[in-house]
Amino acid sequence: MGLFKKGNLTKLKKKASEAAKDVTTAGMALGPVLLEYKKWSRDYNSWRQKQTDAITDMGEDKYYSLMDGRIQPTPQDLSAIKEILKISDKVMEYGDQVVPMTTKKDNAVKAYNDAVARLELINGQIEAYLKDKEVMKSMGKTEYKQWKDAMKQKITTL
Amino acid sequence: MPKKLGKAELDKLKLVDKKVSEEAAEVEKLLTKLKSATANNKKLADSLKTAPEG
Repeated sequence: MGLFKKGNLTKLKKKASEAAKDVTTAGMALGPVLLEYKKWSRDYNSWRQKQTDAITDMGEDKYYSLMDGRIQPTPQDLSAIKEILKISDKVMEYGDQVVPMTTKKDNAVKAYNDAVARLELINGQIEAYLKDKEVMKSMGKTEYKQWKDAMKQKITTL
Repeated sequence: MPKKLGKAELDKLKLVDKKVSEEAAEVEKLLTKLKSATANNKKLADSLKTAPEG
């Protein structure tokens, strides 16, 4: 007797089809999340670059001295500092999003990977089914029994 | 004077830069992987349609 009862392949195909749909759904959710992360990280890097450039233009030492109150700002310095702090506010605004953006991405990646793993499992079972008769012919009785038991065990994990 | 954003605060941002850079590199890889996986999934769905009944 073969590995599966009649009709099992049809059931597995149905499961695989559902699992494939889940992968597609997870993939469609993951794509925009990844693109959103990409855009956000670019914006963050862009504001960081503006911040670095502005501080470099003023001179790091002077900037820190002004920030620490070690030197008094001229009206020109004050204007430049205000501009740097305006840029820095944007950096902080984006920087505050690091954790939520990363968590959102990680969750979407996990959902996708889980869906793929489930599909791969079902596909493995379908392959086993399709190979069943072939395997039965090619193996000895004991060897075939071992293979059959392993496949049955795999099915219970579903 | 506006709020302070000194050396210590700017140094902390370097850690954020590193994290963002690493994650963005991973995102690039994932986008490439997702693109090819989407094509493979389509092939798989097509092959399921032609697999024998039983």
